Amino acid sequence: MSARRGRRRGADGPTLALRVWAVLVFAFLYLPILFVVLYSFNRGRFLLNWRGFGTNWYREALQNGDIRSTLTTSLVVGALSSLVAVVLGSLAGIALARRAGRWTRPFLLLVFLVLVTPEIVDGISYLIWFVRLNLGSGLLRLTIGHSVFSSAVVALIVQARMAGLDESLEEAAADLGATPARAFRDVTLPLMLPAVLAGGLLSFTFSFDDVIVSTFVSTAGTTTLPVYVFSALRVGLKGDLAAISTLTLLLTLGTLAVAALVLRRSGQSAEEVTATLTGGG
Amino acid sequence: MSAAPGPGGAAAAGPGARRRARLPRFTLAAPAWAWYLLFFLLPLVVIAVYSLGYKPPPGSGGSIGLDRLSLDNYTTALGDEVFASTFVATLRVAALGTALCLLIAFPVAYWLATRVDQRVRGLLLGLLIVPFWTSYLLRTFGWRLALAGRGFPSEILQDLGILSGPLSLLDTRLAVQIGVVYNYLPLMIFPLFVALDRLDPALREASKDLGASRLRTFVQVTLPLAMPGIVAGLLLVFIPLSGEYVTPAILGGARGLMAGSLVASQFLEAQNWALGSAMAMVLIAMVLLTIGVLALVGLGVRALVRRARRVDLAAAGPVPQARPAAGRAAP
Amino acid sequence: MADELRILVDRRRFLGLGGAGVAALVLAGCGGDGGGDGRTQVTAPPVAKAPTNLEGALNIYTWADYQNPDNVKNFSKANKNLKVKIDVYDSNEAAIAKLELSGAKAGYDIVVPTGVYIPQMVAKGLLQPLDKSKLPNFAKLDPKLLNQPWDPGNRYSAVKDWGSTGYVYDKTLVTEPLSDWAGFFRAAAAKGVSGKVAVLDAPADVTGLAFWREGIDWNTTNPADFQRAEQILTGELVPHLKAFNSFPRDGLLNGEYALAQMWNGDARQVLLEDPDRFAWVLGAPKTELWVDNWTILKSAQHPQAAYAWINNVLDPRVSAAEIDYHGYNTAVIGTEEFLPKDLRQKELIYFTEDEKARFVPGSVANQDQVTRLYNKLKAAASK
Repeated sequence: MSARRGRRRGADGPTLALRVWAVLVFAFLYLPILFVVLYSFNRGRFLLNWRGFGTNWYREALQNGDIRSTLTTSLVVGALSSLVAVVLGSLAGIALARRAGRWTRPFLLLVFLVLVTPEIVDGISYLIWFVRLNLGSGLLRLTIGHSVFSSAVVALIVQARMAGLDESLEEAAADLGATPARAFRDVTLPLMLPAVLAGGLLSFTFSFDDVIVSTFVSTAGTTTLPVYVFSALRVGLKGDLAAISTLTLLLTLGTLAVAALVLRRSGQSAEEVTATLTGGG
Repeated sequence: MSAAPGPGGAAAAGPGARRRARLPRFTLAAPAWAWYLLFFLLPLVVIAVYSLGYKPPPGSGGSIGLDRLSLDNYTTALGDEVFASTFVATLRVAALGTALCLLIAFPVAYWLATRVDQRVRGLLLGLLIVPFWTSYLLRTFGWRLALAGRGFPSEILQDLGILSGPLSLLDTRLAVQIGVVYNYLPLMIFPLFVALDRLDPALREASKDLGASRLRTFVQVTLPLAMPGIVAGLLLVFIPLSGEYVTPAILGGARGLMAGSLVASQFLEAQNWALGSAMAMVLIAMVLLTIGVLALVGLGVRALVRRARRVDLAAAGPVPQARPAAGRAAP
Repeated sequence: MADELRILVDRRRFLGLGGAGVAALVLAGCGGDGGGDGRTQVTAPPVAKAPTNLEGALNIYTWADYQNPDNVKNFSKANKNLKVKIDVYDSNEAAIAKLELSGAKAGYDIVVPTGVYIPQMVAKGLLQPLDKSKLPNFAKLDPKLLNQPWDPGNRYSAVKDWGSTGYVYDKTLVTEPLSDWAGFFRAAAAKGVSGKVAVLDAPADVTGLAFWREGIDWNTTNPADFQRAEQILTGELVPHLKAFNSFPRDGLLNGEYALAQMWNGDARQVLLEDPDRFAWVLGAPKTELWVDNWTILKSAQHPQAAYAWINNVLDPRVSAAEIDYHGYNTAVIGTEEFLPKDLRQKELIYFTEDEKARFVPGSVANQDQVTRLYNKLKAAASK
């Protein structure tokens, strides 16, 4: 009975309405991007004043050493800091959901502090601290600096996911002879996966977008792309930045397609796990 | 913000649980604790100390004077009516923005969690976030282009007769609202989705089988189970949004002044780290206070609702407990 | 037509032709200026005879896109492929805060501060005095731009470029020709313009509007002056203000703003796009002089390379390439002859003596008061 997942449910009223709404929201999300892509083909000197169609900025973007190096730095830092954030945040999120106690309130206060502190305060204080700690590597500083905020986000999302999902499944697995590691891998992890994925995506986004903290903690040679873009505002945004954005957009859409294939194999929702464990439900 | 205690923790029986119970309950959170303490809290303490200092005279070469500590900066910050009025305006933008995010995000998250094929969900989540991997400044300027009076959305809307004149949204409060909702939407959609996604559809079907209307199912089954996601989303949007100021400045023009901008201007334009630190502390405290007050209100409302529902339930029968993953609710 | 030609002249083909002589020929043929696709028309070979004891790298901390990449490449190639790394910041104060907090570990060699910040950088012990014997091209700088109050005798700085502040207005909406700051205020209140006015998002430039018009020194610390300024600005500016925007180019061109305070380089870009619709007014009777400077950090790891770079960029031909790229005057004498003869809107780069007489260099002496008034105006404007 529980196997019925409504896949064959026709397009009834509410479903149709929800679908329409979702399409509208997607359109909303992509609207400014459409302009960025469009204007990457703007032949003119300044990004925002249309002067005719041309692909010259793509050539410029790929030749621009500053853009290439800042993009690379941003990608590397994004990946590293998301990794750190996801690990720290997921563990914390599970603890918040399942091991709540007197420690929960002070910890949550700390998490809220992390979320609310204005970035300028973060930037300056992190730099002071890194210098005090004699931490000279720009990449390391950026990774740590970005991971603090991101891990707080991941923690709250994983907590929201695991709240109320008690450990009876893991116990069932243990009863069936699984080691704690195996139970974690086969039961807990799949349960957490959407939250981990969501948290990871958001972490990467924050890192990729971060300007203020990055400005302060980076060292020579580790300027990130958004810092470059903000700085370029003074002399005038040019089409090369839009071109690079369009290229990364295409790249990520392509990666998504690949990721979709991967997800198809490992993503399992709660009922599928249950079904597997209870012999098909 | 209540994490579910009780069933998740001590009462669980079994050899695994007994082994786990020996370690302190916060063990899994310990790495995060350590990380925040080392790389966030200690630096923040430095700022707290700075807030007690003063701005040294221009020729002296320092940016902060700490030989004389005092609370003067706090008096200045709290007495500054510009700061106070801007903070109120900021709260308004943040509250409205959060509410709008919730209203817009919930149907999307719900759709994603209940109407979309399992395997496609991750892909759609990715598609939701990809726009935000465009450079932030470019996206925001993309909005300036989209909202421009001479842009093609404006022309299309005029052609369709929806608008009588060109769009004049730029540098207005509405533009600020659009901009912040746009940037924070993923922060609301994702937690809502992960919470809704763990709902066993069997529960909803069971509820319908028992005769509840769609609305009743939604209010009494789906909504309570989605609550952790809702709370997480509200916090993840409201808290950082209160400190935000860049998007409002670019899209809102003169109407886009936020409290965070005042803090930043003390550190940067005025180079007065002492006052900036104090303002930052005040901002942080006020936002946390607001959360606290809202939490109390929320708890109060929940208590009232629970009491009302208890009366209801006596007539209608038991409400399914919060154990969706167990699969035991399936008949 | 010139635009199309310009885009066709690919930079690489240009360099391949080699030598400034051929470059001049091609320039004479194409015409046009640094507009269009951002590719410059002027590519200068580096100064010959660079010292041979250069370190292998150079780290410059500056604004993004603020130096001609061709000049960077040529310098690097002429000096055994010296690796030039450019890192960027988006505000002077943030850069200074970072340099101060990083101490000796900053990692940069050259930093490009705006003049008014040099005194505090010196006081913080960040800069090293320039050894002019290593900068023979320093003599090519226009003496009128040297010896500013923020660095008497130019002990620590060499001019990179300089500019001023004025405003641009839409001629179709503002019918009377304007020529000074009083005109700015008048136009702001006019029908059709009110509500579409933008001023720079820079505290001193906004408070300066009142001071410059009234003939008050914009570096004043007298509270009475600030009260007067507050009165003027709250009464005559705020009611008509749409935005505090340091980059109002697109706003003007898209019709969002009818009147905008601007820096001359930006204004030039607007006039290049649409010279018939817009007019530029350099502030009068007084206006700002800002100067961005090359300075060498005390903690520089590659000082010889830093000197070589600065000396190179002060050469008139190299400097002309810089002007062509970012559109601001570099104060190096003799650059005009290396730029295309029909360089458009030259008046916004090369100012007359009368205009130069209006310039008043700034100072941070009244920073706190200026910021306080500025935030007050911002709050008033947001209601």
